[in-house]
Amino acid sequence: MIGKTAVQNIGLSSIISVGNKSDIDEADLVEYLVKQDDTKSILMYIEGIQKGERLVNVLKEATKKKPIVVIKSGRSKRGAIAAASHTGSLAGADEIFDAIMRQCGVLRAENIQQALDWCKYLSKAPIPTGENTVIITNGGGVGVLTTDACEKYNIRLFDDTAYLNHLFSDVTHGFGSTKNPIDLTGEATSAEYEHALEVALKDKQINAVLALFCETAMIDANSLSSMIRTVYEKYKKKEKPIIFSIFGGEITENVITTLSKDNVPVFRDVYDAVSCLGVSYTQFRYVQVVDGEERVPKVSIDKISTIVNKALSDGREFLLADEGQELLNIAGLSGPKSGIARNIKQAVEIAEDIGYPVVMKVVSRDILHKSDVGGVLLDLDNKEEVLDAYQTIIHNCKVFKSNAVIDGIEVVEQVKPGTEVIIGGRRDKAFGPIIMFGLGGIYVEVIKDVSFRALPVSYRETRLMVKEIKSFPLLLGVRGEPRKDIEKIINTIYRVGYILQNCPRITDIEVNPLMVYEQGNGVKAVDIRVMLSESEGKN
Amino acid sequence: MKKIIFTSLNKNAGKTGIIIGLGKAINQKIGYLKPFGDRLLYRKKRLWDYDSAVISKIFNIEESPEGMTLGFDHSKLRYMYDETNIIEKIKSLITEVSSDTDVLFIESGKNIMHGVTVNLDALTIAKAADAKLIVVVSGDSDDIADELLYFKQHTSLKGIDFAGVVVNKVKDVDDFKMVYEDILHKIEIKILGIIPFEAELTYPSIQLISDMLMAKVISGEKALDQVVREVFVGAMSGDAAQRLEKFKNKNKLIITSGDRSDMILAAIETQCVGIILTNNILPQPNIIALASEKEVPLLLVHTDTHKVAKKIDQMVPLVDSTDMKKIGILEDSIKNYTTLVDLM
Repeated sequence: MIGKTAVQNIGLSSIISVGNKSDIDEADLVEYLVKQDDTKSILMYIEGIQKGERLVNVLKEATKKKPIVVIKSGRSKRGAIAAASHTGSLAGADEIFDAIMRQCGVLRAENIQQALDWCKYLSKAPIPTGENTVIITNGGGVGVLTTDACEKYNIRLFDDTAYLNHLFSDVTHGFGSTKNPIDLTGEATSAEYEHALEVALKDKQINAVLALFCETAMIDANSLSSMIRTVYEKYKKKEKPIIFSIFGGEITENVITTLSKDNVPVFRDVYDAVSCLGVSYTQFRYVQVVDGEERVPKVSIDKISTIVNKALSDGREFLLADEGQELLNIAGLSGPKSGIARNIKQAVEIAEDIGYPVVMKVVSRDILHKSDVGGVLLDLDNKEEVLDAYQTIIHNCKVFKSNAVIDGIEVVEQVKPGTEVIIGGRRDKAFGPIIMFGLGGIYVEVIKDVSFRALPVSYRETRLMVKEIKSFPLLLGVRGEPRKDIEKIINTIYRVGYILQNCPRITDIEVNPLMVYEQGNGVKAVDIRVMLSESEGKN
Repeated sequence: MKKIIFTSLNKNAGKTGIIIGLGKAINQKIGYLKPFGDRLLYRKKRLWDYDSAVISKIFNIEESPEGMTLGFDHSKLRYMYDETNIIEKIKSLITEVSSDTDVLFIESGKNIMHGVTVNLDALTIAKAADAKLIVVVSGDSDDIADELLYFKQHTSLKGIDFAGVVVNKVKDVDDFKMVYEDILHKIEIKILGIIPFEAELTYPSIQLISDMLMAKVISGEKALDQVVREVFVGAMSGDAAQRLEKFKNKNKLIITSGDRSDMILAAIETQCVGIILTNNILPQPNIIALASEKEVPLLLVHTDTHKVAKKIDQMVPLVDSTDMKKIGILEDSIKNYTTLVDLM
């Protein structure tokens, strides 16, 4: 690492190797380094995380002060995840790591070279003051490539075409373009190219520039180095970010090597250049965010703890259906109407009280996967069907396990169809309590369209979780469908997260499915599964 | 119209098989009731008794199997009926079924006393229906004799038209006759027949096993009617299994975990009649494709190999309405080994 950074002229304020048995971990080091003036950016190579909960808290604060880049090995390895809930099976450890690093404002690099590029750039470059980026190029194709790269790295291109035309029409040839990318064409001379960059520098609405250069007959490659150096110094003085990506023959290649050593941000490939500006913007956005005052949901943790403690004292590491329903009520979450029948007469009475159709489910400490043993029957429309369903469920459960303790049969309102989503929380081995949100339904395991966050999570961040899934447009309403009640989803995620965060004996909570209706019509937690542990915070 | 109620001293004595055999042997229009069901079949949100459904199909009975049974669970029967109206219900059912039938077979619950607390035991039904009572016994010869002696000495059959006993599934008929015929004769129990054990009747179909295990059929749906003659637990490697003679039998059922690719592939290649994949583990897609191509049923279950093997071992091989071979054996057994036809 020392050799590599020396070749690239990257200054190291510290290089620290932490052995597995050291009592100083990543969180301690980040806390220390963030206070050191001679450390401009921090690069971490991580193989595994021990005290993730503390690391998350430290990183959230540290990244507001200095950029932190991380490389983690083991991307392809699936975590050893217990399949007790979907929350565990829907993502590998790497997906969770990735999501949580983003949540903390940490920049995750794909490889060592990218990490070094980012660190070098972020250590020297000015922070952007706004989101208007302009691409200035003398080659059309490379301009389009850069536009693609900007989309990949979430860079917003300045798109006021009239304004850009006003700025750049004087320096653009007839068949060039003043739309972003500003295409000066291969006809552009060195002076015209430099002038265009001067225009962008002086303009107050342009916040960052991606300067692309292709070696042409119109520009003397021998003067390229001094031109770039001069432009860069001017930008540096005005604290406006500029990154170069240049293409050409031997002279151009030598220019890249030389300027790069002198810490001028010049790259061979546009994607490398754009990725640097991209992480700079990621950092910029993270620092801008203010979460505001957090809402504390009106949820009685004491009452939930009472339910949890009772289940544990019964020797159970999960809540029964009626206990789960009670938890939903305490949490202020809406579930279907239901009741537990201890005999067939009660089953009919509850069903008649709720109104048909109903669903019937076995309640048994000995049967966790109710559907798999024929312990759930749906769409029961009348008394006769309830009577038959009751006998069938009892029979099926006895066939599955003759000595199963059957605590009753839950009779539940069959909720009307809606958009199914899943909310899950669990205690991750590395990061402690985490929360998951995703699209539900029968394809949940295949599509795996989910987002994760480490707890505690702000209300603003919870909203981002919902927006982050690929299926978010379904919630907004597609092809004339009405928008779904997104606020109620956010509220449910927030409350589930709050419970998991504050009830250390709960290891897993899963609301699946959460039926989402049109905006204003709310959500319904059709089923809730809660797993427990005797020891606090155990995963 | 003749009315006969069949009961047994123990469950799984073979009452349904005897009714099927007798029905076939007499060639008359028959009706059937099983007031207290015990073999649940949940279809289209309603509950039927498996035996009622099979007999309905075999004898083209118009009455829906759903209406042949009053309930399957004491709590339901207690909820629906009291001591008096359950008898009335039985009588009205008999009246409904009796029209246009020559003989009505009533099958009791799993044994003679089952349902006594809800007035649905065999003797109560026999009195209510004014039906002839036939008791079916099976099992170990000594046990049969003990049970019959006890039954005769300690059961009051006053007011009941007790026709006699059918001794079913006897492993050695000659030995049974030699040891027990005189004893039974002395206690004045009329033996209506001694039916020898028939191994063929004990082989279940893949469909039945799939239903009983509530398995998910992954492939080979069209081959579910095949009969299982051998059950093989694939706990060893595929190579080791292929060296065993038992593994070479064509009518074998393999039980193995879904991740035992070597075992599953070896089984498919030896033309087994089905493979039960335990632990809810699906094999690789190429293995499923191969099984589909060769029409080998793959049945996915949640339970582990040990529990599946145990369940299959305890499974009662019920008759399928399409299994003409077994139905033929039952008919022949009644004709050749009993005098039941003479009662008709």
